Amino acid sequence: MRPEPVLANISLIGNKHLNRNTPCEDSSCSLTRNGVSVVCISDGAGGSKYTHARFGSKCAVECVAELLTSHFDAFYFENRESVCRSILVTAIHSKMADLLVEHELDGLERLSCTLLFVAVKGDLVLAGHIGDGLICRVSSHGLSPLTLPANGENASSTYFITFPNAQEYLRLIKTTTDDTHAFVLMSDGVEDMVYDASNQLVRPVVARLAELASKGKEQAEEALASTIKEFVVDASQNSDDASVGILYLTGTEAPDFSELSDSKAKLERDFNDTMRAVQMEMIPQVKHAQEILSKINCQSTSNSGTLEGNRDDEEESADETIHKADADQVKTEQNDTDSSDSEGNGKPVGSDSGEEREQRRSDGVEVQKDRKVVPLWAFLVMTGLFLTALVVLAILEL
Amino acid sequence: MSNDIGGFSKSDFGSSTRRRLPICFCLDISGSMAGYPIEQLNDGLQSFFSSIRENEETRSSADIAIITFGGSVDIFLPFGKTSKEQTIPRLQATTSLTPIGEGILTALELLDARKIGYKQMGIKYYQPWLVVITDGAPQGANAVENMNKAIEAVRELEDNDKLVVFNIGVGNSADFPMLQKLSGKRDKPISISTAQFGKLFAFLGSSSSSVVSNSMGSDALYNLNQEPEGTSIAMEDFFRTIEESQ
Repeated sequence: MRPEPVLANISLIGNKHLNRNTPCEDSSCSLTRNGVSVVCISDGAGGSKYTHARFGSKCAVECVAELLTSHFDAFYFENRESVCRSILVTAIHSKMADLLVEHELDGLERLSCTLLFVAVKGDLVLAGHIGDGLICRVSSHGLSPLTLPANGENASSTYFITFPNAQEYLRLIKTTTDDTHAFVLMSDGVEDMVYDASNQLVRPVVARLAELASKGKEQAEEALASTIKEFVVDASQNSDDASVGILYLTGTEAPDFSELSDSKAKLERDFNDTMRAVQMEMIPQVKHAQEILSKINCQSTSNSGTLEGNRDDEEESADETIHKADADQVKTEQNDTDSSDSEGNGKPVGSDSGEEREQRRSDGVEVQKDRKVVPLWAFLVMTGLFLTALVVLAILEL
Repeated sequence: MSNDIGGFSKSDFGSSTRRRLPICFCLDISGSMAGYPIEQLNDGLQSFFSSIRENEETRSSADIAIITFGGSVDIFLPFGKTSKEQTIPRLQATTSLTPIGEGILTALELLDARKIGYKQMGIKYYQPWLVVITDGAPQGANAVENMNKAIEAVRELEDNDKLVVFNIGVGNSADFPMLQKLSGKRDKPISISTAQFGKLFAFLGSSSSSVVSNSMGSDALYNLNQEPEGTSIAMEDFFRTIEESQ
């Protein structure tokens, strides 16, 4: 059994708020309970519309810490990624609903905030991130980003956990600790100073900040706060709030700080290679595939009567589900094409896309189960159908 | 092996790259602007630049280009950060036509190239501004056709929250119906008299400062009253998932 990780978290008010006498909108918290250690930070949105963002950020970090220390296994071992994300968002939205009553607010958007968390249970790691900010992993040999800041087209726009469709932008990572030495979470105010988006380089200072936690929570938070205050917050009279969270795995090997690289080649990015372009390129192929699949589906329905005598109920259901799965695949591609326009501009997607996704998800599970039981049957039935189809076509041709 | 954290210093941290606010002016210097109007426009621009320069926030964020149209379309000032010493030469009115559409299309090209530059440098930016100021109507060869192209391109960007449009008509002979088409978000074009240039640029200056200092949303620049979002698709899905898994 490894020793409990050291957790540290700070949220400092930025000079922008200090000078205007407005409150800090960031929140952070850490919690160890039931053998699970969680660190969360959240950056409350700054625009005038987001009047109660500081309550939103506080609510979000507390809710996630509570939820993951109670139900780490449920989330970690759930195979349906989208269910994990949706349930997490639902839990936060549900807690936020109470805030709407308490503060007499007219919508979740008033509470807008980002969310970053890392939870560790033994060797298992569950990390999540929506919006900007950065989660880094310090290993025994290096330093790398675990999740990247997600900004919309413009710097002023990012993705908030309060979005109606937040689950579409929430990134979840399930991994193991292995050679990890520490995780460092930071809000965009800090990210700006230690991360270079042009080459995705994390500055070595992040590993040294993480090492502050070797002295225990209290000392770590004190040193962290004074360092971040001096070099990040006070770097500008208009600085943003700054939050940092550290999850430090005691007893693991720290990297050699002098070996950590502080330069990296610029990324070569092709700005024309967009998802939209990929979809456009795929259209003929997908249309062709749709034709094939719909033909097969039609034939299977028109021929099902002649074959009925040879099959029992089990075969039929297996047959149907397989076709359904094929059709669903087409549907998936179609659906993704449809939602492409919403990509990147942070606009919520309509609720019907969620509905379809739900449908797909439950179908997918059925298919898997049945396939395991009767793969041979399915194969025979498919072959039968194919031959019948040939006969039918031959007759029609005559 | 050096596992000593050591002291922290300023050089350990990068300088926070300021988020940029690209502003592209697209200004009418055709014949009708000659005389008093162009002088007012010049005075307004000068005071706009000095207000940008005086404020530390806007000085390091605002990234301004000026395109003029009057007979031909010219890049009067290419994009670049404003420095404390920078002075802006005064515009001269021409004696020719008003190719507004061509002017706007050039402005969009310039903005697009700038955005790609930002992305390559890893610099974040605010929603770019396009400020169109005219006292006339599209004129010249293919004027209407180019104007329609420009309107279509501007509206697509605006609809996707990729551009903030200030469509400004000066005096009575500006083509307001055409200006109206440039923005789907502004109820009607901004209408000013030649005497109000000072006021207009003061408004643009304070708006840019609100964007870079208070992260004022672009919607506020249109004075749209937006109701906050309050629904939760995740929550709606929640019960459906339970029903389906039964």
